Amino acid sequence: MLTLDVLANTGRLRHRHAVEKVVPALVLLIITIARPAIPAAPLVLAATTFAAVAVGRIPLRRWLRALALPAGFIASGTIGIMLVSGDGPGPIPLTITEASAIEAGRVLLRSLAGTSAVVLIGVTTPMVDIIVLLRSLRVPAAVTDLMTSMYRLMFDLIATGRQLRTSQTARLGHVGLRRSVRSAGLGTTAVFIRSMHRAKRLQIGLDARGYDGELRVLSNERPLGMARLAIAVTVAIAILAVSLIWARSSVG
Amino acid sequence: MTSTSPDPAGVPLLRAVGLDYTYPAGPVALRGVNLDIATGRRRALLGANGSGKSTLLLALNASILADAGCIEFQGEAIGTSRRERNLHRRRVGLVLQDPDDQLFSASVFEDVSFGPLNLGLDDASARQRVEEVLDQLALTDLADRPAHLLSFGQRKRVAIAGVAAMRPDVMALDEPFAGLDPMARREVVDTLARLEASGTTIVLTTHDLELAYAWADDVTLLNDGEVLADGSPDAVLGDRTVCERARLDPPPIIGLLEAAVGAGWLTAAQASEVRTVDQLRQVIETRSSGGSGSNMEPDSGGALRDALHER
Repeated sequence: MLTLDVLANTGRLRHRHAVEKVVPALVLLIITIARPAIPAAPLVLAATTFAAVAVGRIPLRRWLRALALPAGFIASGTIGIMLVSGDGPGPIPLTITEASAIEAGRVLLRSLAGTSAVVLIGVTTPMVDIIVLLRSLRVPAAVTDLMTSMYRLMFDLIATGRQLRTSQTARLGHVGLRRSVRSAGLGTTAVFIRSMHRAKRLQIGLDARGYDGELRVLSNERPLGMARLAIAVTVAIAILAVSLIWARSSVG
Repeated sequence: MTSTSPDPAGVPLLRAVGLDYTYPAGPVALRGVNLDIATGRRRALLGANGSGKSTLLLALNASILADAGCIEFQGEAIGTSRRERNLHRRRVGLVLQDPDDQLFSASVFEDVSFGPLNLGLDDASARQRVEEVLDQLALTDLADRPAHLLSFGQRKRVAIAGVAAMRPDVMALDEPFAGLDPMARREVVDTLARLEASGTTIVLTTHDLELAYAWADDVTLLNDGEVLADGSPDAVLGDRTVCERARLDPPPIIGLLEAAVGAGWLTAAQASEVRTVDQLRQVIETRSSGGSGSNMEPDSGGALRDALHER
């Protein structure tokens, strides 16, 4: 989560209009869902990796690390698909057939490709710009205000929680499971109390700037690069075309 | 330092009259506080923890309603209705001590635009106002950054910008220098000077008496919710008895200046021009190199310099 945020806010593509990044990524995501895994999924994976690493100049290792956590979840999920009931080598009546292995591989590829399209948005588009985009799509203010506040306060909460934990650890509060559980409970209580105090002070600060119940703000406008958007969408459509041609030739 | 104020005689820009305030189920925070803030005069509110400085700032901005007494702006008492208090807050801006209590929005630009939009400016004027303020306070480079990726000093300056964008007549800042390294502190001092240049009167609370001595035109010493002393930094901070009662140490520069005057190295008039240890060092160095022909012994500058180094 934090890695994505840092990459999005420091990366080469951060000043680009959100539409230039979100639209092509969503097109890739739809292709991944709508088309058979082969050849669409590997192509989408290649395209998102190229966009992140070559265009966005995100180091390959950081891109792979950003994908690692969802990939872990996906891999553990596909184990269930790979194993089918039957006489296995051990005492458990489970086995892997060629068909189940292929099916698991397809699901793995397709999920990974779809996830990479979403992660691509995450590593290239700052949350601020995503909220701005939602506002321009007329998403209700209640939703975008809540997103703004949560985004802002989440980091505050993480920082407070970390400091509390450090101070507890320094006083041996996390030695052994019993003490760890107790310290975590005390820490959570403290964070809640602090949040309430902070909310009160935030209210004073907002009131002092004329808050009347609605968080009206202006965003820094970014020019929409139509040429860049067109190139990115063309790449996505080319993947769709390859997938269609592939399907026809394998039927033929 | 700024000069005398353009206010009409007897009518300061902002005035507190006999303020009493007790926190709900808490301590008495203000007891009969009177305070005059004149246009263009730098005012520092000083006092130990719990002396009532921050509460006084909240009252000046009508963020809290005093139990007794009132706030006057240009001679007119501020009413207690929400409408009147909101109107008052447009003229007296408040910057909280912890910038994280103030910055709510995802990016710097958005946060600074909040106040101007609440003033009722249309989008184009608000946008122009934000750009002007970010430029004025040298924050343009940070416009797109989310608040959590800024340093503490940068967040302080952005919090100031958020209030400055409303172009208040008075800006009340709670501990603007607290928790800052020397460089960030200088940047905040510079930020305040830029605001003054555009006609904003500054009132702030601080624990940094050295900085208050160098910066302020007027200082108010609070103790236990009462005004203990009010006047020039020399008069208030030079009074050891008063400082002791307020549980504060006078800034070392005062003792050094007294010693320098006592030893005949500086006249009282010359000493009154010196506000910082750096300035004192410059004066001594100029004199010990024979620059202005004073009556100082060549060696005595060295003795005082040693004293400064020991500090």
